[in-house]
Amino acid sequence: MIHVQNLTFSYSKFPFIENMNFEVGKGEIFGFLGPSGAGKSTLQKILIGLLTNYTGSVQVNGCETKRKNRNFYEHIGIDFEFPSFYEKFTAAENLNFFASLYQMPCIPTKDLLAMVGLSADADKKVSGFSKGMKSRLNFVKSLLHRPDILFLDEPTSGLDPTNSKQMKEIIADCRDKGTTIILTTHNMYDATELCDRVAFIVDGSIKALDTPHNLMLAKKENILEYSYLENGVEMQKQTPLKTVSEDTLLQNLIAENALLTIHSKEPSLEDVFREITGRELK
Amino acid sequence: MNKALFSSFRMFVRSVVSDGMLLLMLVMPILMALLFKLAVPALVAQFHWTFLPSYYLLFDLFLFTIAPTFWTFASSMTILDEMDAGITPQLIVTPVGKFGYLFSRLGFPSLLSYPVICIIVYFAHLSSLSVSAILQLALLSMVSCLLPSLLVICIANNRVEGMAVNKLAGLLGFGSFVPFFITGWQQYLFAFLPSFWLAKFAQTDNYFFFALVLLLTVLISWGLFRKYERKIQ
Ligand SMILES: Nc1ncnc2c1ncn2[C@@H]1O[C@H](COP(=O)(O)OP(=O)(O)OP(=O)(O)O)[C@@H](O)[C@H]1O
Ligand SMILES: [Mg+2]
Repeated sequence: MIHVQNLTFSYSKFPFIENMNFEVGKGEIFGFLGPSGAGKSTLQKILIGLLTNYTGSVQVNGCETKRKNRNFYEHIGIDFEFPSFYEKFTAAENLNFFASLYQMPCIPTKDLLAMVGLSADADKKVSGFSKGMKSRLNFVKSLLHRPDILFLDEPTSGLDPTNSKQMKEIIADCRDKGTTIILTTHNMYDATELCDRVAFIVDGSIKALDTPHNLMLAKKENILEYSYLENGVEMQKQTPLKTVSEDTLLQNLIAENALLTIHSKEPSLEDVFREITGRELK
Repeated sequence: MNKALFSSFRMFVRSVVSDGMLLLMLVMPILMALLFKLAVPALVAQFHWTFLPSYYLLFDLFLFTIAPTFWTFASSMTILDEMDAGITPQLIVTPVGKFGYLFSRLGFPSLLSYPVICIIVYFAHLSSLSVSAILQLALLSMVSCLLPSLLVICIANNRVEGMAVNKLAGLLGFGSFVPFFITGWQQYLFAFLPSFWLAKFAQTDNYFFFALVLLLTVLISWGLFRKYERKIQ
């Protein structure tokens, strides 16, 4: 669905994105992960054909994005980071308007609103919506024409856990129906949960690209963390899980039933990210 | 014709109609034309301002610009509102597209103003204008009135800034005064203004000037469109 080859782009005369390569297959959820200013939104703008002065090849849905025709957008849905609506009009009016721009029949507005729990707010003006309500409305706006490729920029930011979970279910559901999804996020848990593969992006280049599972397995060893009392002071210690039998202190503590806490720590995607890129995610 | 383009235009009409000030812009041309038709000859008769009739052609040139000026003003205000609300980037990644968006906001109202210009001028003109002259001058006015609007949406970022820039952009139309008041070579200092050549064409009927208006407008519009394109990406 998406083939990027030797992509080079910059806003200024200094190099930014250089010789980037990756591919995204049909029905895949592909994550862009990286700190602020890494170039995630820039990359998304190139993929959706907003920035065209790049070199190299960027094929999206079989079309070189700088030579796209109007038909290109019939099959692409974009949920921008910042929701945008005609605030004077109601939620339903807004969705109906956006639906009227496409040739093919769209998902009925009623169903879209029900999907994100906004049925009761269909006839309220968007100006009266809360931040989370606008995010949800913006999200369904991007998928009303049943796009083949869906670009989501921080879709769950500002949502409460229930709505966030519901949205992630819809995203997974779209994938199961064959939609290709590009998910840009800072949220490691969302990425781990949803993405089939993720790309770590820092300073305009991809530092790692694999399934979240492989990234976590390959990079960091699992650790056992425990605490105990020594002269009335609580002490904490870590020991690699695979050499746990060599930790005599731990064995003594177990023998004396003197452990306060004990648990194993699996590396999160966040730890892996820090280790590979040397940067914090936020 | 393209479905997306029409839907987008319909939304423009709804936005204008739901906004009191912009709605007024739609009807203003007719009110102003009436005022002119009645007031100018009355002034001549009442106060014996006999110098006025020699400027009747200039008054008529002004008449040509009323409808496109007000209507494209409504366009630029709507475009700025949409830019401010973040809707513009959203619309250009739908089948409407970058050019289609601008066409549905500026092109449609501008084209629709053409018959209105012709009707207004036909009924309210003061100088002796033939029907064919009216049709030709209306075309040039319609086209050159795109420039102030394009300038506004290139420079301003919201409605308040837009109003300020619009006052400045209005100066583009003052080229029409030049041939009436400056007869020496100095008048060509204003040769970069399409409105200057428009007035020259109205005075002389020379089609070279007609072509110059079109050429200059297309060139400047293209430059402004490219600038606008960079602004919204
Ligand atoms: N229109 C622009 N003109 C010039 N530079 C820009 C422009 N847009 C972005 N940049 C620069 O490009 C770099 C990448 O920005 P980008 O918006 O792609 O980051 P991001 O990864 O999406 O960050 P965030 O997580 O904060 O959204 C930044 O240094 C930014 O200043
Ligand atoms: Mg971003």
